[in-house]
Amino acid sequence: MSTAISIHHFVIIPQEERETYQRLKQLPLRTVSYNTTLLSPSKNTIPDNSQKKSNEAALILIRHGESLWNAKNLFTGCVDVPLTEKGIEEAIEAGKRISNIPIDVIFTSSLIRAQMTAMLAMIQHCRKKVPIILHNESDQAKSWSQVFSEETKDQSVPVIPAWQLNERMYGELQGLNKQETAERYGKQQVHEWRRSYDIPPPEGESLEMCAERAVAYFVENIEPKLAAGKNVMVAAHGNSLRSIIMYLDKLTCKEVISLELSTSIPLLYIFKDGKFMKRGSPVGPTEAGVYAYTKVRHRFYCSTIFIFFEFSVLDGSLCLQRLAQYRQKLDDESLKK
Amino acid sequence: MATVVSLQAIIGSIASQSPSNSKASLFPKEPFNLPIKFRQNRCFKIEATTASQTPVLDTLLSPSKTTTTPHKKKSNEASLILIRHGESLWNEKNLFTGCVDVPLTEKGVAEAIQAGKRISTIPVDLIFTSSLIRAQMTAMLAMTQHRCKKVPIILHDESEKAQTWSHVFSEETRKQSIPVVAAWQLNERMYGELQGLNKEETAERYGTQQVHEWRRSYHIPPPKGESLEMCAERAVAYFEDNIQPELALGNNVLIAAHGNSLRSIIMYLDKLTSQEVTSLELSTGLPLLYIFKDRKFMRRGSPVGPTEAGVYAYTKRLAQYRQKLDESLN
Repeated sequence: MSTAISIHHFVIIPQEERETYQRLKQLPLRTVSYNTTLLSPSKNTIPDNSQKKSNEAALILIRHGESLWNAKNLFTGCVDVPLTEKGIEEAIEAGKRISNIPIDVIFTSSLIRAQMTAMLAMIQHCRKKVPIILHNESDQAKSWSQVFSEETKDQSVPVIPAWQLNERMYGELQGLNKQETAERYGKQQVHEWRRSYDIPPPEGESLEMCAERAVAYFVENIEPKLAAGKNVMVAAHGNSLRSIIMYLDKLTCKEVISLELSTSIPLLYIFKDGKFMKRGSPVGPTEAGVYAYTKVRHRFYCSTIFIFFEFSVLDGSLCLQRLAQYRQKLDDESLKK
Repeated sequence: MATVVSLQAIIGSIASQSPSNSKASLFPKEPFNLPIKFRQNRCFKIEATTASQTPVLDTLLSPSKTTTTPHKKKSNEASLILIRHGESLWNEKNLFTGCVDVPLTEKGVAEAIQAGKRISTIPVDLIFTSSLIRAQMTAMLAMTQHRCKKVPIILHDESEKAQTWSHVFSEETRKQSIPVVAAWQLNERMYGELQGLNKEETAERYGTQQVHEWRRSYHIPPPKGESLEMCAERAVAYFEDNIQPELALGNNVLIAAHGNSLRSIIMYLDKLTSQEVTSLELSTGLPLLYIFKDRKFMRRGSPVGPTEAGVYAYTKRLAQYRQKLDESLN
């Protein structure tokens, strides 16, 4: 049984507990930093004294930032175009926001802009594990990329590229700018392709078709990892991520069409008991906010806890119990939906 | 008799397929005829063998059929830039990396951007990288600094679907693009059973002497790995078959790759001996420029970048290109 030392940072703004609770109720579901650096060199990323692997896992979704064709206002789709300088910065920003959330496996699309986003984000990660892209395209590729040290493998985070997480394929619009497209096909038609759920552009995919292959991939390959307690990060594209969110949040077609995903702002979900609970967007270690722990984590970490106050803490009581209960309340509310 | 001679002549001309043949496609046949396992493949499942001869630039052009439009020579000289990627996460930890696909550190990212600044005024028409992310990222990061503002586009030929899905449908957009070809043959030397080990572990497992021999010799491979000789064989073959013909047509090429694959290519360009190549060290983040002219490679050192003073041996053509870029800003 290996020991684990956990370090948490809490910031509580209001003074009274009651005030806290009232205020928390009004806040949107935004999460704040929590530093949980597991210092034990155990084999699993989640320490053994959680008895079985944790029955909950974190799922982070990151949409890549600005690509060179976004900047030129061209329809990109599956054309493999890289990030701009701004897109690079966005990836690094996103990385800072998730730097303290455990990650055991990474899924990306097969396009460089998503892969670069994942790699740049992971440079910021506090655990300093090394992402390694898996190559399964041929026997040679597989054998050539083998790692021969157990210790090194433990310090690695596998990265799995999958074309099923690619951006929606835009067919004959790929490479065209909005003006060209409107001239070629008419404004009305273009608007329909961009905003409908099931009408594909010529030779392209509708959002429905994109959702079909993205969600199928998620259910077959990503959800089992979460169910096994692995914390997952998915770095992908606007449409493939919307599709997945449609599945996670059980959205209708109408709702998903109007769903806009910010770039560089990661979304966090907690997977527990077969359900996905939306946890908003981590704000990063330098910003103040309130993070609602799960009760399980709280109980586990309570045994060996060091609490540091990074920011000025106003007079007020630190109430882990209440926070955990608040978290419980949020969980219960979302389960009722 | 005459028939036999003419048949032989035909076979001979097909076999030689000289690059100056104006009918030759930009992207010669051989890589696509190799067995699937030797072709560069990324993550697309292989649905169909696409053994068609597809010119590199044409892959962006014609969405359906392959074309063998004759390509005129653009110029009688071309620039070749070699960039070795910067620090990777395993370099930092002092682990043998080889073909394990490990990304760059923050320092490696900064080195790539620096390298990009140094080559920002040298024309680039075509980019070749290895199939490893650290080289690809280096190329993409470097190109964000390029003044021409053309957009690198990574070609996907691992399956028919991959090809179709990545087609570009605008002539103007294609003209503003730089095709990027990813090739496993430009990968780092495969380090076999040393991959993932640190120097200490390796010395313990195999003995200091033995490890030194693997690292410094030309033809002794580590267990299940490649010797520098084996690495050179596949890297130089790839260069000769795929990159040199492009240079011969006047296309300016950038290669972003690794220490050993680049040393191998330099060995070929500079006609080095095996002893000379084992002691050749390539700086990271410092691009090397060669000019290809009249079938010869002329070493031009390392470009100093637009903000530094120095004597740089530009060719007239490069100076004119630079002039053009400066004028387009005003």
